Amino acid sequence: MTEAERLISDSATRLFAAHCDKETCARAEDGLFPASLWRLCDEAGLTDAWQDELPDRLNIANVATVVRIAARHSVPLPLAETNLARMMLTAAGMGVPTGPLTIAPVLPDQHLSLGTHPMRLDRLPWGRDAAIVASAWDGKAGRTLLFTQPFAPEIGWNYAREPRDSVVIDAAPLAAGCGWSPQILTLYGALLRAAQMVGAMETILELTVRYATERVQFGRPIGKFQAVQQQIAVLASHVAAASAAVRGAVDASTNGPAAFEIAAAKLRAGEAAAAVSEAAHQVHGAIGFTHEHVLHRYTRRLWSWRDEFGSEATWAMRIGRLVSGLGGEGLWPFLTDPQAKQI
Amino acid sequence: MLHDFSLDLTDTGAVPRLRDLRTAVRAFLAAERDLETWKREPAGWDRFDPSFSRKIGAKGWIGMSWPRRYGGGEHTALERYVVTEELLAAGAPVRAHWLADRQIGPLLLRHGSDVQRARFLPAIAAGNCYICAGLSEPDSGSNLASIRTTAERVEGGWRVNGTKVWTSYAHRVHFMNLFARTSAKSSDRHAGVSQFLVDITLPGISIRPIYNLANEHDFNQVMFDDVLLPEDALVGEEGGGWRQVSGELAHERSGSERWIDTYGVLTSLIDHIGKDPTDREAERIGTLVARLWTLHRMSFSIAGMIQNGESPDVEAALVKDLGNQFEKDIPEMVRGLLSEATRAGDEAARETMAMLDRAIFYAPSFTVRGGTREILRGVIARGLGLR
Repeated sequence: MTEAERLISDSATRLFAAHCDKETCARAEDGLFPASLWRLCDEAGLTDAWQDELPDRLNIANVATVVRIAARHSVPLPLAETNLARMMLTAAGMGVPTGPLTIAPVLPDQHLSLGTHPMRLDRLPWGRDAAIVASAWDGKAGRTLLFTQPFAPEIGWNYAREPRDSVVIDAAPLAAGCGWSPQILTLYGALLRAAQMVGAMETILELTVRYATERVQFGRPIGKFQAVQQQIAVLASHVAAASAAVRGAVDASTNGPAAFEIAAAKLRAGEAAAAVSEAAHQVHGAIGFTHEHVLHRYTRRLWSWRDEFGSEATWAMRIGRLVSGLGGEGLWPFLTDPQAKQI
Repeated sequence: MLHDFSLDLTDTGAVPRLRDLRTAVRAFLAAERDLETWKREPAGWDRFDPSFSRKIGAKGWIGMSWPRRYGGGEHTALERYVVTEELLAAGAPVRAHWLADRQIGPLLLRHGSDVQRARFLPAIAAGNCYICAGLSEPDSGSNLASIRTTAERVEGGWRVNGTKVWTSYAHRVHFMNLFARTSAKSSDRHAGVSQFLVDITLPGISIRPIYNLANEHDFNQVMFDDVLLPEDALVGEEGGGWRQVSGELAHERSGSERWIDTYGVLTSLIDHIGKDPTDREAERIGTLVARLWTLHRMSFSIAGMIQNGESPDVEAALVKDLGNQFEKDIPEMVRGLLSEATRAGDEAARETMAMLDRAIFYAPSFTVRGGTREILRGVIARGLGLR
């Protein structure tokens, strides 16, 4: 972790610990946008984490840190989306509006093209609350489009009851510029969802260890039973693997999204999500299955995020196709050479 | 909380050096392959080939991090990591010098006498001196503290009695790193155990092969019947064996050898399938490659932690647990893409089947040897504060 990441991690942790309580999360699930929490994040610079000391560089490592810490606290805000949208606007040399932003397209196989009219966008994160920054193909180049907050979107949710709405856009964009292709947006989106999954899993590990230490059955804490210990050890190893993979993908993406590493990280985090939520719920027993307990705030997020910006199957097939072209002995040099993996 | 496995080498200047080392190992292996001194085979790196070990020694790739005066190269832990990972991933036959390089060198550098260092290290680094581990016994497996082999102080040295099992390549090495009890069991179950380097040809030592389920012979039962060891066979402190061996656990459990054993199945499968995989083939290959890359990152970052003087024992246990499972995942996922008919296919198909056959036979050993899955998970649970 760099010094900048540590600073931003500490300040985000303090802010969320103080201001993102159970009540805020519950109200957000009822459909109320947490506006005051948003303002605090905005003022603390958490929506501008992408700004690097170097003026022409985008700092994806800091953004990954912010969204990971936010996920540790199940913060119900489009922080990943707003940071990405602002990065995208800046890369295209466009002005950045205030307020929450969302991004489109979020489905890896949905490629928008300039001139598609009307434009239908599905599963749009916070579509009802945010202006839209979309990436469309303009021939072989990417074009960034800014649209106003949609009127009367079709309301939808993911498993964690985060807004995932559908809109049909038939108006012209407010502004447009040359910028990221939809492919680049999908990669960054996948990287940030994977970072969010790591944050959620870190909290799940902490909750599970604590519960196993406090819950007493047969005269001792259940964490003293080897059968329980072994499950928690497996849980921890998957958290570590996902964390290492995401770290690797972030490190590889300082000069633009590293396609292979991001694909591998999203896939590995998705695999970990299954193992981690399964073990955590098993250890928590019946109480972990109640709405009152906090565990589901994190596991429902994992079940959503592993499917967003490409599921394990999507990314596995892409990696499989890519490496099949290398031949057996070509695989190892490819894996170990950071230069070889820009796609 | 666990380490976050970060390892940012961007500003250290290490990246080009590490890349050059990888290139050098690949060039050496390619040249040797052309000379037909080796090729990738189902047994991978687990092949005992003294002449190949001497070639690797001559390249300076054994004892890489040791002091120059003992035949080492004073390289960093990361440089050693990169070279060994390249050799293992290629499936080069490095088993002969493996344990001496990974364990005995560091042990002697920490706890050995000057005489022992001068005697063993240059020979090991040259690829001429091979050593096996003498830990497990018939009644002492995961519970290493329960060993019963004794080394009793006698005039001029030690007298050893007892039996060791699962000692890989005892029939081909020069020395055994023997774990023996030097005083009776006390309330501290870890006390009273010492380490010795034992000349395997001494009178009173008998070696009996144990054939594994593939009907192949690499491990043995080794019996000690009043074997007399010289005074200087003791390594480190009398009674300090447990502490000495525990200090090396991160090193022992975190390397690429913990996840690379069945890698040849994957490379041969990719050749067999070719450039145009079906969705199902692509999905399975992609899944395995993502796990492989993650493990490579984890091991590499642990090598960095070790280089920085940390002891990431829990992280290492976790890599071994995940890595051993991955070695088993490869054959299970690959066999789902093949069939009995593959055996009658072309050369690439037959090669894949040969790799798979070996992997299926050896898979049960992966999660047992060098610390069972259950022991590793116990270590992780302890690290999490559960025990």
